Amino acid sequence: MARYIARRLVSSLVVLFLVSVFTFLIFQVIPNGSPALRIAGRGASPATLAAVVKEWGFNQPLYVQYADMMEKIFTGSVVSYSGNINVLGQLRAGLPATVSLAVGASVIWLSGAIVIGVISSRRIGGTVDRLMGVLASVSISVPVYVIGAVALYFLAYKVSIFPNGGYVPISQSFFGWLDHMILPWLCLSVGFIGLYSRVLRSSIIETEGEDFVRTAKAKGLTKRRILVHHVLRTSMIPIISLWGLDFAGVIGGGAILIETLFNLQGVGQYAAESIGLLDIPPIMVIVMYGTFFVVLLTTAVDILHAFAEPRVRLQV
Amino acid sequence: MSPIVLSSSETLAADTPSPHGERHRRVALRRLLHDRVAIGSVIVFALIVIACLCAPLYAKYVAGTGPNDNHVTEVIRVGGRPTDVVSTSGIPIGPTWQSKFLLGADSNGRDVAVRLLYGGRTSLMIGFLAAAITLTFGTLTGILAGFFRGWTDTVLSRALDVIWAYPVVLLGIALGTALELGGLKLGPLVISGNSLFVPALIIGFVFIPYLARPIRTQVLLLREREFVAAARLLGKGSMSIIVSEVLPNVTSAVVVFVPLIVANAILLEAGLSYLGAGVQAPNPSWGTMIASGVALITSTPSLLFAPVIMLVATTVSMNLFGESLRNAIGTTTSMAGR
Amino acid sequence: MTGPLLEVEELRVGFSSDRGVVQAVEDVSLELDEGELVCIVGESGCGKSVTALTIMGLTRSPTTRIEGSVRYEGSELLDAPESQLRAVRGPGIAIVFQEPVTSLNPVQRVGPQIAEQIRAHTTLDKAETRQQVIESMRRLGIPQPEQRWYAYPHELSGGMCQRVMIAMAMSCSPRLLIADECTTALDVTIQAQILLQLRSLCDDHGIGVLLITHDLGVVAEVADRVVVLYNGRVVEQGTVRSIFEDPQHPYTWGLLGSMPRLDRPRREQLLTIPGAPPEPGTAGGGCSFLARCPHAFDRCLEEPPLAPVPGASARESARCWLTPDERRHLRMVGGDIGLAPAGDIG
Repeated sequence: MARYIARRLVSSLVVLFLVSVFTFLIFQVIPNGSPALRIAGRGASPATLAAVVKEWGFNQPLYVQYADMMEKIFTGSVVSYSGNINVLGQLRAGLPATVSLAVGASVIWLSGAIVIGVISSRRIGGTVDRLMGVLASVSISVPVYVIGAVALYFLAYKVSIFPNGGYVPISQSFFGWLDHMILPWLCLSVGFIGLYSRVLRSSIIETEGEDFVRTAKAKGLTKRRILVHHVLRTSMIPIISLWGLDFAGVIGGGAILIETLFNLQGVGQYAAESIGLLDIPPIMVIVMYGTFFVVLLTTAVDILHAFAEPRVRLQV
Repeated sequence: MSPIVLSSSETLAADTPSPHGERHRRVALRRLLHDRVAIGSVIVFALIVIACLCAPLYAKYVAGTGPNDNHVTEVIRVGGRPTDVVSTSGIPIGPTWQSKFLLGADSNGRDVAVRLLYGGRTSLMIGFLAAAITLTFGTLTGILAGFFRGWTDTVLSRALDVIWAYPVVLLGIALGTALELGGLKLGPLVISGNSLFVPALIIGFVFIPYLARPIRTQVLLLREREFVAAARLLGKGSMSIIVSEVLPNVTSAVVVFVPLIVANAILLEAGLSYLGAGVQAPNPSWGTMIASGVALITSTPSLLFAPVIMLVATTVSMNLFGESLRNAIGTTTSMAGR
Repeated sequence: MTGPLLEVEELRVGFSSDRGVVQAVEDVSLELDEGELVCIVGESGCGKSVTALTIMGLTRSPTTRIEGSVRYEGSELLDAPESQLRAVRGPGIAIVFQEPVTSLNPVQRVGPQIAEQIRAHTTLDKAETRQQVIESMRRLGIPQPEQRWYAYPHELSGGMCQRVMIAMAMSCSPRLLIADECTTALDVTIQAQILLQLRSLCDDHGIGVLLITHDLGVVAEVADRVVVLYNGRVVEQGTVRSIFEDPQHPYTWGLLGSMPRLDRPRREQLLTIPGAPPEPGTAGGGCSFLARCPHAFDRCLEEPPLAPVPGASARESARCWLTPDERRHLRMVGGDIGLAPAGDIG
């Protein structure tokens, strides 16, 4: 087990390093034209431009540029030149909204997917199963911001059941927070429920064909116990791995679209605003932090996975 | 993030290679022809493609205006009454259900129906182009990594791991914003920032690991099989084995992937364009149209619903067809991703 | 005890799929008493395992057609409700499968897996259950059962997993144990130990054992009676002595003749049964062994009934049109029982 964890950690470190190099390449080497111009932002004065060239080391060799960029990103000293604001401070301010969104939505989509996945796996090929299959296909085909926009139109504008966007910190008012979060949670969950319920369904079907499930039946256990203790315990494993990945993705800026639409003032909305202004430094930092978070959480999930399913340790 | 849904992860189902064969293909085709959902979705998709291809004809002979032509100050007759294309308070006209401004106008007084068809050309073109890029490079890296193993595999797999590590939307945004200003310069290849090839390239690139990783796993299993060993004993070289033995055996996995990747490329294009990191103005695409529609949802909902219906009809038909295709071919490749 | 422990009568099991119905079991009847060890033998695909699973109600599904009758202690199981089946599975009939490693849940420790069954059928508390599990593991010769309680299946050898499976099967003291090729995957030495344990279960505890195997060596060692299956049908049944010394059906001769024997001089070549068994459900009319039988004659185009062997006890019967005299004559090949190669006849 220790061996597995060690190997997994080393490979994650390698990926983290490569991600940092690739991010550097994306922003400073691959694009055509001067990197300083992009970093400085639209309509930057010649003085700012000169400062950027000096600070980011654009007149130095590439490896120095890389080192400079990493130092700036990880010491939190990246500055958005268009507003002269420290990026890290903005990120911190946006984090509570983003975490609220990710935690709430992921709980909803996970439980929703389990319920629907189990129901459709009970009668494979039946009406309910086929209907759920079509609904799942539809739900993953509709962009999340469209779902959000339509929901806002009908549930906040036409009928004012929910507030028309905005974020209330949980520390300020729990119910205000809840009231503002429910619609974003649900909208973000729809597609994930569609996807996860289908994955769970096929995973359940696969597990039910396993020898050990036949053994469980031969033991005279109830259907319910076989489902919960033998089938679901195994079928949930791919779902949990996916869930780790998506949860990290949402926190790491994946909820950009829904945050913008609902004006949640989170990390994602900050990213979206920066894109609109073509303000590169915040995007750079968000991409880097977001991806690092995804890699770290994925590693953690994999290690937990190895505890849950002892066979995994033998592989890799 | 919008759930980017693709067949992926080896954690789920690396399908065991099934021997390729004429019979297998015919069975799959027959099943597909008996599947009403599959037939229906192909028809819907074909109609959309044909309509979008006919955009210039519609613009010229029906609407009498181009996708970027401005009619803000004009007045047209709707049901006999003269109506402003864009009212004095800035609200554009809704669907007129007549040849001019069939689906209304946008805030710049442009014909929504015309833009819808031209936008569809953009979105579909980016979707197909991106899919072609993903399929080519995904299959290639997957096969090379799985077949040659060793250093080739280590290098390629690491590269795939890195792309895979980024959340899809974030990577798209990073590339989109970085390339927006100056465009791309790869050796002699220079693409300007507002070219449609930029989003196509980005989207195609982002999805590569989602195809390459399962293909690699499958090839790793394949190369241990008897017929590959037999081909080697016959003195065939690696390239010839790849072409004659490996490639035909991964085709079903690749084919199953095509509708999924097209649907997801179109979705990602819409998402990036919505954020302003995809197709650049004034080019219409469904994504940019949805973005401007969201802003005007309270006054002119048709501006949002028209592109949404087209987009969703396209992606739903592709995803439903993809599901039918998977059932017909009988692979266990399950949808998973993020 | 009024009747036999288990009675299977004219059992038919068919699986329907896209391409029609595959008849895995055509006509199987057998009986089993308390304390008796009955072997079902036959080539792979002849319906042995399907018969075993159907007795337990494990082949039930919307796509399975099951006809006939399976009675356990006189009560019908085939159309019994799930709740009744559940009560029988474990304390009544228990089963040990062919693949011990995959038959155990890979993500659960083995102790709790055994305990689960006890707790489903008794009111014992946790500590008592644990005591009983460890006791039954020890009886099966599993060393250090207290530590093994915490082992995962992949940490144990195949033989150890099979003992865990048998301990699990025995944990609720069943009256009938079905062992489906339970020693096939194991080393010969471990196989022998497990067979002896099965035998002692019959002798010491009065349990009925239905042992499914394709290995006649196993049959000779432990069986009381033998049922020979071919293509989903019982072709012959009798005591172990009668099957080995006075076999009635050409297929049984073939099985016996293809068994390597050390106590005889080596033949030029082993006698075999020519051809392969038909795919389940593809046989046409007539005797199902017709295509492979060198002794077939025109009457064999009609399917023979399972008829009692003249002059033997009631439970000996065979499904062949040859007369007893012909059988005695035809089964001898070079001084031993076997199926004559087609060219040597007449």
